[in-house]
Amino acid sequence: MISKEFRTLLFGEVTRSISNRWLIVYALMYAALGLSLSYYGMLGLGYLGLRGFGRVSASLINLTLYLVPLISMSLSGLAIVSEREGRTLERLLSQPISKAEILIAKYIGITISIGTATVLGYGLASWYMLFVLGPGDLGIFLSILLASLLLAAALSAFGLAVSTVSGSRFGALGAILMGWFVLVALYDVLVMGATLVANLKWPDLIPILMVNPVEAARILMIYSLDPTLIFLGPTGVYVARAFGPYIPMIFAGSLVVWTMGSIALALVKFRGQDL
Amino acid sequence: MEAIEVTNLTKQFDSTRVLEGITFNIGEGKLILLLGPNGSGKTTLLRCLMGLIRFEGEVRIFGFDVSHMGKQARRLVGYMPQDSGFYADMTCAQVLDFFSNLKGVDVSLEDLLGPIGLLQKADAKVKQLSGGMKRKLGIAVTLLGDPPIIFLDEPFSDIDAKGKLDLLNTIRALRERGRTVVISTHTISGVLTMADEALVLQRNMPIRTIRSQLFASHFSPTYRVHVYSKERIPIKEAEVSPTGWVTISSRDLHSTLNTLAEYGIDISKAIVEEPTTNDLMMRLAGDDL
Repeated sequence: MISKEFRTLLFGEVTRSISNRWLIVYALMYAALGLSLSYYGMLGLGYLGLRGFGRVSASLINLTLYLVPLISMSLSGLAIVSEREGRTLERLLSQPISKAEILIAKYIGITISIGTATVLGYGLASWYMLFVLGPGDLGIFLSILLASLLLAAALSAFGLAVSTVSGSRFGALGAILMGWFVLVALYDVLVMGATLVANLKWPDLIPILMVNPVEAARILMIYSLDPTLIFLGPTGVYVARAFGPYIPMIFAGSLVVWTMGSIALALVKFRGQDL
Repeated sequence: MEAIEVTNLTKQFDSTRVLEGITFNIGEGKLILLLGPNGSGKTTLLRCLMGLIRFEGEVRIFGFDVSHMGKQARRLVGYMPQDSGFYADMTCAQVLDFFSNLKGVDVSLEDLLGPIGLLQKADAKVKQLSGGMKRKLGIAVTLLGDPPIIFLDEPFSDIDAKGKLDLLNTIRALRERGRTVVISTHTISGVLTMADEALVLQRNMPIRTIRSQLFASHFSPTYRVHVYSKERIPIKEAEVSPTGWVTISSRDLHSTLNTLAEYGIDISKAIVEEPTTNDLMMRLAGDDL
């Protein structure tokens, strides 16, 4: 049974997040880039047939893997620390609500807002593509969208944990940008370096892929496009052969573990803090 | 049952012990002043009483242990922190709607904003309000649901004389309705005449309780109220300067402001000089209370 206090907190959080200017910029940018990618991807459709759809999807996946982590971690990463610095947390905590309720309401509110913005961005692109292609590829689009939402959920939780342990907005923002850079850009380089130095084999790379939520989401999205994962090279093919139809469960599971683990960490830290 | 029971409360931040072994009870319907210079731990004590920060010892609000039953305890308390603590982009109406829903009370905007003169500002955003207006909104939110216990942290800072008088009248009304009120202040602010007891906090010293009968001998603060008036003010303590400014020295700020308002003086422009608790602490140091 959801209490009235929790519903009030959740509604307040969704209202504030949706009116956040960065989220609005994100939604507009997502929609504009998604539409552009769809449009320019479709220009070659006459020559490439349905492969044009795959090309647009791949572009959208790359866009998603940069933008969704950035907006998710930024919004949630400032959620608690901003309330603390803006002195609104003290007023909030003096109401008959628990710290756990505040944290969970923030998490759900932010995730709903980012999810809505992402669905809108994807929605415009997919509407345009379906207009051209017909409804046959709707399932693929929905799978990619679902993986994006799972990624947003996982990294919003991670951002919230960062926000809880950060002493200032500045520190939180630094940690978020660093985290984003490591997960989205540096991780691949580190893995390549480690593979060369430690002479890692393909089986060793699977846990490394599962540890990074961005990589887990990438595999889920590529799997939606092509279950052989051939786009990911030999490692992808190995993963496809090793896990086959269990890939969605395993890598979605990795994102769920990230979500639950980060929320648990945030809860423990927040409860143990003064204000 | 006591309204508030505090037993052996100790609070330490890193290596600094701010509160040590504090024990006191506050009966229902009492008005208590929490006095002490800046940094003496008044705000920390109020936050402990609310269960907002962790501490050693025990605090009970009408029997509810705030460390383990904080939600139940906070349902019985209205707390006004030093900073307004409202979301800057919310309107006054949204603020009241949000907090009344959190408190689980059903109230109309007219009933809440009307008496504090903010009804016309219902659609104004918090960031557009003056400091005094935010204070008024803070009071309105604090008193949502008519809680039996009210904690006010430095309520007299950043408000003009008119706001001070309104606040003093509100506190008097709360007291008459049998509410338990704890006010943390580093200025005496005219509330001394209404209080039952003062709890005096000083760094590295045990908490001291001064009963109201002893206020006069220990505090006897003198306020100086400066107002501008072209008309003669028929108050014998009034000193008139050639520029038109009138200075009134008084030991009862509440009645002085009331009297001036009754004479039609615009007290919103009055300047009030009041003794700070730093001055009091200097006097209390070495006293055997």
